[in-house]
Amino acid sequence: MMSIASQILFNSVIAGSIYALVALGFSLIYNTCKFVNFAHGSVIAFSAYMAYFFFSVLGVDFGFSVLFALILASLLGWAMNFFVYREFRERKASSSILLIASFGLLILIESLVLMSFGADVKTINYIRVSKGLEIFGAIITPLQIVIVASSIVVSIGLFLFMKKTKLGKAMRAVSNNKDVAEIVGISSEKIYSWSFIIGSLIAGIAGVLIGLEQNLEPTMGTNLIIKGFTAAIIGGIGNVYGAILGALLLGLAENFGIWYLPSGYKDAIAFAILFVFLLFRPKGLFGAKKEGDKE
Amino acid sequence: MKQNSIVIVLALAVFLAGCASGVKTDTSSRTGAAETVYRIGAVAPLTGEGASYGQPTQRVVNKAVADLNERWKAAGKNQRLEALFEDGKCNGKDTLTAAQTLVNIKGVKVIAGGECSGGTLGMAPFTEANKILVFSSLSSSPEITKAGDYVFRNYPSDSAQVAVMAPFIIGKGHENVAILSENTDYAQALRKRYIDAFKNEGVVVVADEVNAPNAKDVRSELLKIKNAGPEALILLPQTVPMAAVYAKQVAEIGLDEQVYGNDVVVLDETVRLYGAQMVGYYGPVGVFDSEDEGFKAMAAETDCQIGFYCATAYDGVFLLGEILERCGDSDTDCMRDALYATKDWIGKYAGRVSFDSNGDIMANFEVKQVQGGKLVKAE
Repeated sequence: MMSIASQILFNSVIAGSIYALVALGFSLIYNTCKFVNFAHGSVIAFSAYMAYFFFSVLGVDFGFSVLFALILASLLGWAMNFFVYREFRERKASSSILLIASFGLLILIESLVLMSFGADVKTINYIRVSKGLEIFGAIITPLQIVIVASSIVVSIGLFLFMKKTKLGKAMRAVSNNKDVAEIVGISSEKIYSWSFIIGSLIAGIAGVLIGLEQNLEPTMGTNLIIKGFTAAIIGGIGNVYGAILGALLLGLAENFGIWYLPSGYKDAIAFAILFVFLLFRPKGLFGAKKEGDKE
Repeated sequence: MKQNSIVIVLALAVFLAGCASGVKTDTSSRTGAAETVYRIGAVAPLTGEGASYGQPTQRVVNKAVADLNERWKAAGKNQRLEALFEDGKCNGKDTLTAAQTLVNIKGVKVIAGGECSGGTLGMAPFTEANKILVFSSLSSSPEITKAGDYVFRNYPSDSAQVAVMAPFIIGKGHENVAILSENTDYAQALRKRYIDAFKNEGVVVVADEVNAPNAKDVRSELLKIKNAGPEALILLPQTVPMAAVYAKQVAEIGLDEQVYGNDVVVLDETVRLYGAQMVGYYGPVGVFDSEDEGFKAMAAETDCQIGFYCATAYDGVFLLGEILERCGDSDTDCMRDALYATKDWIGKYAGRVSFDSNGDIMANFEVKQVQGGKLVKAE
């Protein structure tokens, strides 16, 4: 029974780490730009496919393939902001319009990936699939350990970046009050660009790791962003630290839930939690309190 | 002003060019012999998870259409087949929309597809009500048998799959089994048939896990199965991506039980991806000569790695071509009767085709095993 409990716990932490990697970049962008960027999912898929392209198609060294994939993911994020969202902001578009535009971008980029790479399943064959290691009676693969570790490292790195660096502080300033930040000389447009670059870099890391762990499919970003969005809502949308906790809670609820319920309820559990939070605690676990919020 | 004029002229030029390209020039009409064009619709999952079927079979259908037109031309027949594709996304709702577009807007009376069983079942009430002939080369759910009088398929029903696999599994001496299946029309119909077959033979299903469609993580489901201690595991995915998830995570979690799969698990593409992890897996494959050089060349040219499906999709076009020659592309009653009357029609790759009174073909499966990254006939 101990091994079952520890296996479910490990499964939950692995799932939570994947959701956290998705939710971190997503929340960072929301935190500064104040709109829900569903196209973040397409950056994850794009990064995974780029790693596949450089490593499996062109035969580039794996380290360089990952590096190129991360650079291109960041560039894609920057381009999405510069060529699409900035144009909408200049036209005084609301957050809802930006959200719809992000859906459009998600579908567009997924379609481009489908056209470029085809629909068949791709794998980045860098790590041979075999039975995992046994730790505390649970089985976990070395890659899954890397995913959990990466999730922790990226979270700590982002925390330090936001607290200690000038750019991170500027991001927080824009997030708190864009107009006041501009008065003190911070260009909100530049900060938006940096948010997309850094958020997409994190999406790139997520894409490569998820591409190694799961198979590559053009629609992989949509599935991931739904879970990342749910994790972000649970944690408190816009709160990057809340997103991590939300992701872990989601992973735990899904995996422990289906131990007692039929497996088909896995997604239902996730969405039930999402509804509960939206109804009773819309600001999530750590979301900032807004004026007018009831205690 | 000058700039505006240039823009207007350019816009007009583009408009006229567009109009010109839309005009069909029938050169044969000018020479006096009007070309007969048979138009059919084709619904396939061109996007989404099911695109791993839809895209390769679209290429196969296009290749078959080109080959058929070439054959007709060589025979001096002034006729041509045209297939108009719509995306059915492997679900009932989108397949119905695709069918409505093809019928109501493009005016076709024959639809090749839908490929996923859920899609075919989703459009069947509409096509039946409008007497539209549906001819599927991939749908295998037993529910399609009763989907309507105008619904035909040249892919065998899953009932035939279970009829071969269940006795094989029982023959291996397993007293209890576990089933992991995807929550889709096709996979669930198959699951129910397995459960019924085992119940009749006294084999206990100790774990019966159904995962969400397109799930990427089935580790906890596999843990529940492992905990139930089955002697064998039966995997029933709908798509290749789901089969790949199963194969990878079964290997990672270290399940030592004998694994059996459906026809998707033992598709060439799944074996290509995870053949090394699937050593010893058994699964049903439609009986056809997969080593035929012509078939291998066609599959390579169209990059179709879904085995028997490639063969049925190709042959389906040629069979439809013969029916269209006889009946034209509008008289679906004639087409329906001609298909029911089809006995021992010999396809190029998928073998003989005869239809029963439900529009199903009388075909068979054989059990194959994954060995050395390839499929070999099971002992």
